[in-house]
Amino acid sequence: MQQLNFSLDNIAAGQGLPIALTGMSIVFIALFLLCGFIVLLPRLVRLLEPYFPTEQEPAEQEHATPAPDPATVAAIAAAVHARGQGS
Amino acid sequence: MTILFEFLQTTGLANITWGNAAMIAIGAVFIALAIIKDYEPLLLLPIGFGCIVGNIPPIEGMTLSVYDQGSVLNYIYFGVSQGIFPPLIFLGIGAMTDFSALLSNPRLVLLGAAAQIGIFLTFIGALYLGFTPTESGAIGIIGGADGPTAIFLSAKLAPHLLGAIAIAAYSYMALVPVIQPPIMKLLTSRQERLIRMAPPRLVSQREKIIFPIGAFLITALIAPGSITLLGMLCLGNLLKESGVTERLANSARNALIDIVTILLGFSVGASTQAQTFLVPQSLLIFGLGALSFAVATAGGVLFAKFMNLFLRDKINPLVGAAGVSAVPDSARVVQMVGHQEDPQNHLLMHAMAPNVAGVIGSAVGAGILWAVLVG
Repeated sequence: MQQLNFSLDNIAAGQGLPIALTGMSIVFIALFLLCGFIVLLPRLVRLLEPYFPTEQEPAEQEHATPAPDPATVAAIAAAVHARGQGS
Repeated sequence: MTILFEFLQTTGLANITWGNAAMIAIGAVFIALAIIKDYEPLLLLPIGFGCIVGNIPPIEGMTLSVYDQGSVLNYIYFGVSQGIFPPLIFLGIGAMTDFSALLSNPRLVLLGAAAQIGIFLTFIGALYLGFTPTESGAIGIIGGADGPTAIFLSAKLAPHLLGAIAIAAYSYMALVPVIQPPIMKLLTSRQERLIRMAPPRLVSQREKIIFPIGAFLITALIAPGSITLLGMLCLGNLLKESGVTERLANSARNALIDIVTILLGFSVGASTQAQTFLVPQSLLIFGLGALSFAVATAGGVLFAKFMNLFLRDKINPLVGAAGVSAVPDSARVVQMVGHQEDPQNHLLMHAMAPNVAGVIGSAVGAGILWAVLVG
Protein backbone atom coordinates (compact mmCIF):
# COMPACT_ATOMS: atom_id res chain seq x y z
CA MET A 1 0.00 0.00 0.00
CA GLN A 2 1.66 3.20 -1.15
CA GLN A 3 -0.86 5.75 0.11
CA LEU A 4 -4.37 5.85 1.46
CA ASN A 5 -6.83 5.98 -1.40
CA PHE A 6 -10.39 5.16 -0.42
CA SER A 7 -12.37 4.26 -3.52
CA LEU A 8 -14.93 1.75 -4.69
CA ASP A 9 -12.90 1.48 -7.88
CA ASN A 10 -10.21 -0.31 -5.87
CA ILE A 11 -12.66 -3.14 -5.21
CA ALA A 12 -13.40 -3.56 -8.90
CA ALA A 13 -9.73 -3.28 -9.83
CA GLY A 14 -8.77 -5.93 -7.29
CA GLN A 15 -11.64 -8.20 -8.39
CA GLY A 16 -12.92 -7.99 -4.83
CA LEU A 17 -16.47 -9.18 -5.37
CA PRO A 18 -15.69 -12.20 -7.61
CA ILE A 19 -12.91 -13.35 -5.27
CA ALA A 20 -15.09 -12.92 -2.18
CA LEU A 21 -18.09 -14.68 -3.72
CA THR A 22 -15.97 -17.52 -5.10
CA GLY A 23 -14.05 -17.87 -1.85
CA MET A 24 -17.16 -17.94 0.30
CA SER A 25 -18.82 -20.47 -2.04
CA ILE A 26 -15.79 -22.77 -1.93
CA VAL A 27 -15.63 -22.60 1.88
CA PHE A 28 -19.32 -23.55 1.99
CA ILE A 29 -18.87 -26.37 -0.52
CA ALA A 30 -15.88 -27.77 1.40
CA LEU A 31 -17.67 -27.69 4.74
CA PHE A 32 -20.95 -28.93 3.22
CA LEU A 33 -19.08 -31.96 1.85
CA LEU A 34 -17.45 -32.39 5.25
CA CYS A 35 -20.91 -32.31 6.80
CA GLY A 36 -22.04 -35.00 4.34
CA PHE A 37 -18.99 -37.09 5.14
CA ILE A 38 -19.76 -36.91 8.87
CA VAL A 39 -23.37 -37.94 8.21
CA LEU A 40 -22.13 -40.96 6.24
CA LEU A 41 -19.39 -41.80 8.73
CA PRO A 42 -21.43 -44.21 10.90
CA ARG A 43 -22.45 -46.11 7.74
CA LEU A 44 -18.84 -46.19 6.58
CA VAL A 45 -17.81 -47.62 9.93
CA ARG A 46 -20.48 -50.33 9.59
CA LEU A 47 -19.29 -51.08 6.03
CA LEU A 48 -15.71 -51.46 7.21
CA GLU A 49 -16.63 -53.72 10.10
CA PRO A 50 -16.46 -57.01 8.13
CA TYR A 51 -12.90 -56.20 7.07
CA PHE A 52 -11.72 -55.66 10.62
CA PRO A 53 -11.71 -58.41 13.20
CA THR A 54 -14.64 -58.10 15.54
CA GLU A 55 -12.31 -58.88 18.43
CA GLN A 56 -11.47 -55.15 18.37
CA GLU A 57 -15.03 -54.33 19.28
CA PRO A 58 -14.65 -54.55 23.07
CA ALA A 59 -11.75 -52.09 22.88
CA GLU A 60 -13.85 -49.83 20.71
CA GLN A 61 -16.69 -49.95 23.19
CA GLU A 62 -14.30 -48.93 25.91
CA HIS A 63 -13.11 -45.98 23.87
CA ALA A 64 -16.53 -44.93 22.69
CA THR A 65 -17.54 -41.52 23.93
CA PRO A 66 -20.50 -42.03 26.21
CA ALA A 67 -23.46 -39.75 25.80
CA PRO A 68 -22.71 -36.94 28.22
CA ASP A 69 -24.54 -37.11 31.48
CA PRO A 70 -26.59 -33.90 31.90
CA ALA A 71 -25.22 -33.47 35.42
CA THR A 72 -21.65 -33.70 34.11
CA VAL A 73 -22.39 -31.22 31.34
CA ALA A 74 -23.92 -28.89 33.91
CA ALA A 75 -20.85 -29.17 36.13
CA ILE A 76 -18.44 -28.51 33.23
CA ALA A 77 -20.51 -25.59 32.02
CA ALA A 78 -20.73 -24.12 35.51
CA ALA A 79 -16.95 -24.40 35.90
CA VAL A 80 -16.35 -22.73 32.54
CA HIS A 81 -18.85 -20.03 33.40
CA ALA A 82 -17.20 -19.43 36.76
CA ARG A 83 -13.82 -19.18 35.01
CA GLY A 84 -15.32 -16.72 32.53
CA GLN A 85 -16.61 -14.59 35.39
CA GLY A 86 -13.21 -14.66 37.01
CA SER A 87 -11.29 -13.49 33.92
CA MET B 1 36.11 10.14 28.78
CA THR B 2 35.72 9.96 25.01
CA ILE B 3 35.01 6.24 25.24
CA LEU B 4 32.32 6.85 27.83
CA PHE B 5 30.81 9.58 25.66
CA GLU B 6 30.81 7.32 22.59
CA PHE B 7 29.22 4.55 24.62
CA LEU B 8 26.50 6.86 25.88
CA GLN B 9 25.70 7.73 22.24
CA THR B 10 24.92 4.06 21.59
CA THR B 11 22.62 3.52 24.55
CA GLY B 12 18.93 2.97 24.10
CA LEU B 13 18.23 6.06 26.18
CA ALA B 14 20.07 8.23 23.63
CA ASN B 15 18.33 6.71 20.63
CA ILE B 16 14.84 5.93 21.81
CA THR B 17 12.02 7.63 19.93
CA TRP B 18 8.51 8.48 21.08
CA GLY B 19 7.32 5.66 18.87
CA ASN B 20 9.56 3.15 20.62
CA ALA B 21 8.35 4.41 23.99
CA ALA B 22 4.73 4.06 22.87
CA MET B 23 5.32 0.49 21.69
CA ILE B 24 7.05 -0.38 24.97
CA ALA B 25 3.98 0.98 26.77
CA ILE B 26 1.72 -1.14 24.53
CA GLY B 27 3.86 -4.18 25.34
CA ALA B 28 3.44 -3.42 29.04
CA VAL B 29 -0.34 -3.14 28.57
CA PHE B 30 -0.39 -6.58 26.88
CA ILE B 31 1.54 -8.07 29.79
CA ALA B 32 -0.84 -6.41 32.25
CA LEU B 33 -3.90 -7.69 30.34
CA ALA B 34 -2.42 -11.19 30.36
CA ILE B 35 -1.59 -11.20 34.06
CA ILE B 36 -4.37 -9.11 35.56
CA LYS B 37 -7.27 -9.84 33.20
CA ASP B 38 -6.17 -13.33 32.12
CA TYR B 39 -6.80 -12.34 28.46
CA GLU B 40 -5.06 -14.97 26.27
CA PRO B 41 -2.05 -14.97 28.66
CA LEU B 42 -0.19 -17.70 26.77
CA LEU B 43 0.03 -15.38 23.78
CA LEU B 44 -0.28 -11.84 25.05
CA LEU B 45 2.52 -12.24 27.58
CA PRO B 46 5.22 -13.36 25.11
CA ILE B 47 3.93 -10.90 22.49
CA GLY B 48 3.96 -8.07 25.04
CA PHE B 49 7.48 -8.82 26.16
CA GLY B 50 8.53 -9.19 22.52
CA CYS B 51 7.15 -5.67 21.88
CA ILE B 52 9.38 -4.33 24.63
CA VAL B 53 12.45 -6.20 23.36
CA GLY B 54 11.83 -5.19 19.75
CA ASN B 55 11.59 -1.50 20.60
CA ILE B 56 14.90 -1.08 22.35
CA PRO B 57 16.78 0.94 19.72
CA PRO B 58 19.47 -1.26 18.17
CA ILE B 59 23.09 -0.17 17.99
CA GLU B 60 24.13 0.74 14.45
CA GLY B 61 26.36 -1.92 12.92
CA MET B 62 25.28 -4.64 15.31
CA THR B 63 22.90 -7.37 14.17
CA LEU B 64 20.30 -7.35 16.90
CA SER B 65 16.73 -6.86 15.66
CA VAL B 66 14.44 -9.39 13.97
CA TYR B 67 15.00 -7.57 10.71
CA ASP B 68 18.85 -7.82 10.83
CA GLN B 69 20.02 -10.78 8.76
CA GLY B 70 21.97 -13.19 10.92
CA SER B 71 20.79 -11.92 14.29
CA VAL B 72 19.51 -14.42 16.84
CA LEU B 73 16.08 -12.81 16.78
CA ASN B 74 16.11 -13.03 12.99
CA TYR B 75 16.66 -16.78 13.20
CA ILE B 76 13.77 -17.15 15.63
CA TYR B 77 11.61 -14.90 13.42
CA PHE B 78 12.45 -17.18 10.48
CA GLY B 79 9.83 -19.59 11.83
CA VAL B 80 7.25 -16.81 11.52
CA SER B 81 8.37 -15.23 8.26
CA GLN B 82 8.52 -18.60 6.50
CA GLY B 83 5.25 -19.84 8.00
CA ILE B 84 6.86 -22.72 9.94
CA PHE B 85 5.42 -22.05 13.41
CA PRO B 86 1.68 -21.89 12.55
CA PRO B 87 1.47 -25.47 11.17
CA LEU B 88 3.31 -26.73 14.27
CA ILE B 89 0.75 -24.98 16.44
CA PHE B 90 -1.98 -26.63 14.36
CA LEU B 91 -0.36 -30.00 15.08
CA GLY B 92 -0.70 -29.30 18.79
CA ILE B 93 -4.26 -28.03 18.41
CA GLY B 94 -5.17 -31.19 16.50
CA ALA B 95 -3.70 -33.32 19.28
CA MET B 96 -5.81 -31.40 21.83
CA THR B 97 -9.09 -31.26 19.95
CA ASP B 98 -11.94 -33.68 20.48
CA PHE B 99 -14.14 -33.58 17.39
CA SER B 100 -16.98 -35.51 19.11
CA ALA B 101 -19.25 -32.47 19.28
CA LEU B 102 -18.80 -31.93 15.54
CA LEU B 103 -19.29 -35.61 14.69
CA SER B 104 -22.45 -35.86 16.75
CA ASN B 105 -24.15 -32.84 15.16
CA PRO B 106 -22.79 -32.37 11.61
CA ARG B 107 -25.25 -29.65 10.58
CA LEU B 108 -23.42 -27.28 12.93
CA VAL B 109 -20.40 -27.51 10.58
CA LEU B 110 -22.19 -25.04 8.31
CA LEU B 111 -22.08 -22.38 11.01
CA GLY B 112 -18.30 -22.62 10.85
CA ALA B 113 -18.56 -21.87 7.14
CA ALA B 114 -20.99 -18.96 7.56
CA ALA B 115 -18.72 -17.16 10.02
CA GLN B 116 -15.97 -17.04 7.39
CA ILE B 117 -17.91 -14.25 5.71
CA GLY B 118 -15.83 -12.03 8.01
CA ILE B 119 -12.74 -12.96 5.99
CA PHE B 120 -14.16 -12.10 2.61
CA LEU B 121 -16.04 -8.91 3.59
CA THR B 122 -12.89 -7.63 5.29
CA PHE B 123 -10.98 -8.46 2.12
CA ILE B 124 -13.37 -6.21 0.20
CA GLY B 125 -13.10 -3.53 2.90
CA ALA B 126 -9.31 -3.57 2.73
CA LEU B 127 -9.40 -3.22 -1.06
CA TYR B 128 -11.71 -0.22 -0.67
CA LEU B 129 -9.23 1.43 1.69
CA GLY B 130 -6.50 1.16 -0.94
CA PHE B 131 -4.59 -1.93 0.13
CA THR B 132 -3.30 -4.14 -2.68
CA PRO B 133 -5.14 -7.45 -3.31
CA THR B 134 -2.43 -9.52 -1.56
CA GLU B 135 -2.37 -7.14 1.42
CA SER B 136 -6.18 -7.24 1.51
CA GLY B 137 -6.14 -11.04 1.56
CA ALA B 138 -3.72 -11.03 4.48
CA ILE B 139 -5.84 -8.48 6.36
CA GLY B 140 -9.07 -10.32 5.54
CA ILE B 141 -7.88 -13.48 7.26
CA ILE B 142 -8.08 -11.64 10.61
CA GLY B 143 -11.82 -12.30 10.22
CA GLY B 144 -11.07 -16.00 10.55
CA ALA B 145 -10.25 -15.24 14.21
CA ASP B 146 -7.39 -17.69 14.10
CA GLY B 147 -3.95 -16.37 15.03
CA PRO B 148 -1.77 -19.08 13.45
CA THR B 149 -3.77 -18.95 10.20
CA ALA B 150 -3.49 -15.14 10.12
CA ILE B 151 0.29 -15.34 10.62
CA PHE B 152 0.66 -18.11 8.04
CA LEU B 153 -1.22 -16.24 5.33
CA SER B 154 0.35 -12.85 6.07
CA ALA B 155 3.80 -14.42 5.84
CA LYS B 156 2.87 -15.63 2.36
CA LEU B 157 0.91 -12.64 1.06
CA ALA B 158 2.13 -9.52 2.87
CA PRO B 159 5.14 -10.14 5.14
CA HIS B 160 5.58 -6.40 5.74
CA LEU B 161 2.16 -6.29 7.46
CA LEU B 162 2.70 -9.44 9.50
CA GLY B 163 3.34 -7.67 12.81
CA ALA B 164 0.22 -5.51 12.62
CA ILE B 165 -1.98 -8.37 11.43
CA ALA B 166 -0.74 -10.79 14.09
CA ILE B 167 -1.15 -8.24 16.87
CA ALA B 168 -4.64 -7.32 15.62
CA ALA B 169 -5.69 -10.98 15.34
CA TYR B 170 -4.46 -11.93 18.80
CA SER B 171 -5.74 -8.73 20.43
CA TYR B 172 -9.24 -9.27 19.11
CA MET B 173 -9.13 -12.96 19.98
CA ALA B 174 -8.40 -11.86 23.54
CA LEU B 175 -11.33 -9.44 23.30
CA VAL B 176 -13.85 -12.04 22.06
CA PRO B 177 -15.72 -11.89 25.42
CA VAL B 178 -16.11 -8.14 24.91
CA ILE B 179 -16.84 -8.00 21.16
CA GLN B 180 -19.24 -10.89 20.70
CA PRO B 181 -21.98 -10.65 23.39
CA PRO B 182 -23.51 -7.32 22.27
CA ILE B 183 -23.75 -8.54 18.67
CA MET B 184 -25.22 -11.88 19.75
CA LYS B 185 -27.86 -10.16 21.88
CA LEU B 186 -28.64 -7.57 19.23
CA LEU B 187 -29.34 -10.20 16.57
CA THR B 188 -31.40 -12.64 18.66
CA SER B 189 -34.65 -12.47 20.58
CA ARG B 190 -34.87 -13.75 24.16
CA GLN B 191 -37.04 -16.59 22.91
CA GLU B 192 -34.29 -17.65 20.51
CA ARG B 193 -31.63 -17.45 23.20
CA LEU B 194 -33.71 -19.80 25.33
CA ILE B 195 -33.80 -22.59 22.72
CA ARG B 196 -32.53 -25.86 24.15
CA MET B 197 -30.78 -28.22 21.80
CA ALA B 198 -30.96 -32.01 21.79
CA PRO B 199 -28.07 -33.76 23.55
CA PRO B 200 -25.29 -34.98 21.22
CA ARG B 201 -25.30 -38.61 20.04
CA LEU B 202 -22.76 -41.23 20.97
CA VAL B 203 -19.62 -41.17 18.78
CA SER B 204 -17.56 -44.34 18.32
CA GLN B 205 -13.77 -44.38 18.43
CA ARG B 206 -13.62 -45.65 14.85
CA GLU B 207 -15.51 -42.58 13.64
CA LYS B 208 -13.02 -40.38 15.47
CA ILE B 209 -10.10 -42.20 13.83
CA ILE B 210 -11.50 -42.07 10.30
CA PHE B 211 -12.63 -38.43 10.58
CA PRO B 212 -9.23 -36.65 10.39
CA ILE B 213 -8.22 -38.68 7.33
CA GLY B 214 -11.49 -38.09 5.49
CA ALA B 215 -11.73 -34.45 6.57
CA PHE B 216 -8.22 -33.76 5.33
CA LEU B 217 -8.83 -35.43 1.97
CA ILE B 218 -12.06 -33.51 1.38
CA THR B 219 -10.80 -30.08 2.38
CA ALA B 220 -7.28 -30.38 0.95
CA LEU B 221 -8.47 -31.68 -2.41
CA ILE B 222 -10.81 -28.69 -2.68
CA ALA B 223 -8.34 -26.09 -1.38
CA PRO B 224 -4.78 -27.46 -1.69
CA GLY B 225 -3.42 -24.19 -0.29
CA SER B 226 -4.62 -25.35 3.10
CA ILE B 227 -2.69 -28.64 3.17
CA THR B 228 0.04 -27.37 5.47
CA LEU B 229 -2.34 -26.15 8.16
CA LEU B 230 -5.04 -28.80 7.82
CA GLY B 231 -2.50 -31.58 7.27
CA MET B 232 -0.88 -30.81 10.60
CA LEU B 233 -4.24 -30.32 12.34
CA CYS B 234 -5.52 -33.68 11.11
CA LEU B 235 -2.22 -35.44 11.81
CA GLY B 236 -2.30 -34.14 15.37
CA ASN B 237 -5.85 -35.36 15.78
CA LEU B 238 -5.02 -38.77 14.32
CA LEU B 239 -2.10 -39.09 16.75
CA LYS B 240 -4.57 -38.43 19.56
CA GLU B 241 -7.41 -40.64 18.40
CA SER B 242 -5.47 -43.59 17.01
CA GLY B 243 -4.64 -44.70 20.52
CA VAL B 244 -1.27 -46.09 19.41
CA THR B 245 0.78 -42.87 19.37
CA GLU B 246 -0.05 -41.44 22.75
CA ARG B 247 3.55 -40.36 23.35
CA LEU B 248 3.63 -38.36 20.13
CA ALA B 249 0.21 -36.84 20.79
CA ASN B 250 1.32 -35.92 24.27
CA SER B 251 4.46 -34.19 22.97
CA ALA B 252 2.49 -32.35 20.29
CA ARG B 253 -0.18 -31.00 22.64
CA ASN B 254 2.20 -30.13 25.49
CA ALA B 255 5.93 -29.58 24.90
CA LEU B 256 5.86 -28.79 21.19
CA ILE B 257 2.96 -26.37 21.19
CA ASP B 258 4.33 -24.61 24.28
CA ILE B 259 7.79 -24.15 22.76
CA VAL B 260 6.39 -22.92 19.46
CA THR B 261 3.92 -20.59 21.20
CA ILE B 262 6.75 -18.95 23.14
CA LEU B 263 8.92 -18.51 20.04
CA LEU B 264 6.05 -17.33 17.86
CA GLY B 265 4.60 -14.89 20.39
CA PHE B 266 7.96 -13.44 21.29
CA SER B 267 9.23 -13.01 17.74
CA VAL B 268 5.93 -11.55 16.51
CA GLY B 269 6.09 -9.05 19.37
CA ALA B 270 9.71 -8.25 18.58
CA SER B 271 8.76 -7.52 14.98
CA THR B 272 6.62 -4.55 16.03
CA GLN B 273 9.35 -1.95 15.89
CA ALA B 274 7.82 1.51 16.00
CA GLN B 275 9.46 2.48 12.71
CA THR B 276 7.57 -0.25 10.85
CA PHE B 277 4.53 -0.68 13.09
CA LEU B 278 3.38 2.84 13.97
CA VAL B 279 2.08 3.80 10.54
CA PRO B 280 -1.46 4.76 9.42
CA GLN B 281 -1.88 1.36 7.75
CA SER B 282 -1.64 -0.36 11.14
CA LEU B 283 -4.54 1.73 12.45
CA LEU B 284 -6.62 0.76 9.42
CA ILE B 285 -5.71 -2.90 9.95
CA PHE B 286 -6.88 -2.66 13.56
CA GLY B 287 -10.13 -1.03 12.45
CA LEU B 288 -10.72 -3.67 9.80
CA GLY B 289 -9.87 -6.40 12.31
CA ALA B 290 -12.55 -5.23 14.74
CA LEU B 291 -15.05 -5.03 11.89
CA SER B 292 -14.14 -8.51 10.67
CA PHE B 293 -14.73 -10.06 14.10
CA ALA B 294 -18.10 -8.35 14.33
CA VAL B 295 -19.10 -9.44 10.81
CA ALA B 296 -17.96 -13.02 11.41
CA THR B 297 -19.99 -13.21 14.63
CA ALA B 298 -23.06 -11.75 12.93
CA GLY B 299 -22.61 -14.13 9.98
CA GLY B 300 -22.67 -17.19 12.23
CA VAL B 301 -25.67 -16.02 14.28
CA LEU B 302 -27.72 -14.97 11.25
CA PHE B 303 -26.98 -18.21 9.41
CA ALA B 304 -28.15 -20.20 12.43
CA LYS B 305 -31.41 -18.23 12.29
CA PHE B 306 -31.64 -18.94 8.57
CA MET B 307 -31.10 -22.67 9.15
CA ASN B 308 -33.88 -22.62 11.75
CA LEU B 309 -36.34 -21.71 9.01
CA PHE B 310 -35.90 -25.24 7.62
CA LEU B 311 -35.14 -27.31 10.72
CA ARG B 312 -37.55 -29.16 12.98
CA ASP B 313 -35.01 -29.39 15.82
CA LYS B 314 -34.06 -25.74 16.16
CA ILE B 315 -30.53 -24.50 16.72
CA ASN B 316 -29.96 -21.91 19.41
CA PRO B 317 -28.67 -19.04 17.22
CA LEU B 318 -26.16 -18.04 19.87
CA VAL B 319 -24.21 -21.15 18.87
CA GLY B 320 -23.59 -19.52 15.46
CA ALA B 321 -21.28 -16.99 17.12
CA ALA B 322 -18.87 -19.84 17.88
CA GLY B 323 -18.32 -20.26 14.14
CA VAL B 324 -15.41 -17.85 14.47
CA SER B 325 -12.49 -20.09 15.19
CA ALA B 326 -11.26 -18.51 18.42
CA VAL B 327 -11.12 -21.86 20.23
CA PRO B 328 -12.44 -22.23 22.89
CA ASP B 329 -13.10 -18.61 23.81
CA SER B 330 -16.05 -18.03 21.51
CA ALA B 331 -17.66 -21.32 22.66
CA ARG B 332 -17.24 -20.10 26.23
CA VAL B 333 -18.89 -16.80 25.31
CA VAL B 334 -21.87 -18.70 23.84
CA GLN B 335 -22.16 -20.68 27.07
CA MET B 336 -21.95 -17.48 29.11
CA VAL B 337 -24.61 -15.58 27.13
CA GLY B 338 -26.93 -18.61 27.05
CA HIS B 339 -26.40 -19.12 30.76
CA GLN B 340 -27.43 -15.52 31.49
CA GLU B 341 -30.83 -16.17 29.89
CA ASP B 342 -31.36 -19.66 31.30
CA PRO B 343 -28.98 -21.01 33.92
CA GLN B 344 -30.10 -24.55 33.10
CA ASN B 345 -29.29 -24.27 29.37
CA HIS B 346 -25.76 -25.50 28.69
CA LEU B 347 -24.62 -24.66 25.18
CA LEU B 348 -20.90 -25.27 25.56
CA MET B 349 -20.85 -28.77 24.01
CA HIS B 350 -22.97 -27.61 21.08
CA ALA B 351 -20.85 -24.48 20.56
CA MET B 352 -17.67 -26.52 20.31
CA ALA B 353 -18.92 -28.00 17.01
CA PRO B 354 -19.02 -24.76 14.98
CA ASN B 355 -15.94 -23.61 16.87
CA VAL B 356 -13.72 -26.41 15.55
CA ALA B 357 -15.49 -26.24 12.17
CA GLY B 358 -14.46 -22.58 12.13
CA VAL B 359 -10.81 -23.61 12.50
CA ILE B 360 -11.17 -25.83 9.43
CA GLY B 361 -13.18 -23.15 7.58
CA SER B 362 -10.64 -20.40 8.19
CA ALA B 363 -7.78 -22.66 7.06
CA VAL B 364 -9.74 -23.45 3.88
CA GLY B 365 -10.39 -19.71 3.42
CA ALA B 366 -6.68 -19.01 3.80
CA GLY B 367 -5.85 -21.71 1.26
CA ILE B 368 -8.30 -20.19 -1.22
CA LEU B 369 -6.96 -16.65 -0.82
CA TRP B 370 -3.37 -17.88 -1.16
CA ALA B 371 -4.19 -19.80 -4.32
CA VAL B 372 -6.23 -17.03 -5.92
CA LEU B 373 -3.98 -14.11 -5.05
CA VAL B 374 -0.58 -15.70 -5.60
CA GLY B 375 -1.17 -18.85 -7.62
